[in-house]
Amino acid sequence: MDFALDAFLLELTAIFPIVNPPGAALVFFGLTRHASHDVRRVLAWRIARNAFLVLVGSLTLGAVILRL
Amino acid sequence: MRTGPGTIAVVISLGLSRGSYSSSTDEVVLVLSTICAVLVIAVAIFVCFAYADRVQCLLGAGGTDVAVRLSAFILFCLGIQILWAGGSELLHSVVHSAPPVPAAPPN
Repeated sequence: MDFALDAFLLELTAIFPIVNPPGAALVFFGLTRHASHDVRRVLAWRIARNAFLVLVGSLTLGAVILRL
Repeated sequence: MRTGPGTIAVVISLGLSRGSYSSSTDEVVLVLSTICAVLVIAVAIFVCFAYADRVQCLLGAGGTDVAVRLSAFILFCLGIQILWAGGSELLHSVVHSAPPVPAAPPN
């Protein structure tokens, strides 16, 4: 259990500053200033889902693809 | 929008470090914890992006500027660290693979 928590925290702290959600959110807000809150919410959901898919995909398949 | 080549590179290197763990239960635990970490980050992305307008109102123009500059600085420091780690690795390998100086022949 210790090991899992260790790994979880390591990965979280490694990826979080690079993705930088609060900083990116400010840029995102600058780009969508004219849109309504609902539109922004839908966009945020799509961005979060795509980011999740990209990261999980590159995590699991990345090493395999690079070795091809 | 936020998972560019830098993020992908870090994540791939994280995934590659998996190979060093021997037992299979350890590996499954590692994969699951990584997916959980990515999930937490995706949730953070969603929350930050969806409520960016409230944060903007809260911080005001000056506060927003400060936040952007601060996060840019943190990212810069991270970049320097990665650069240094890679550079010192490289230098280490170059220095230690240099051929030894030939000994003077005895007279």
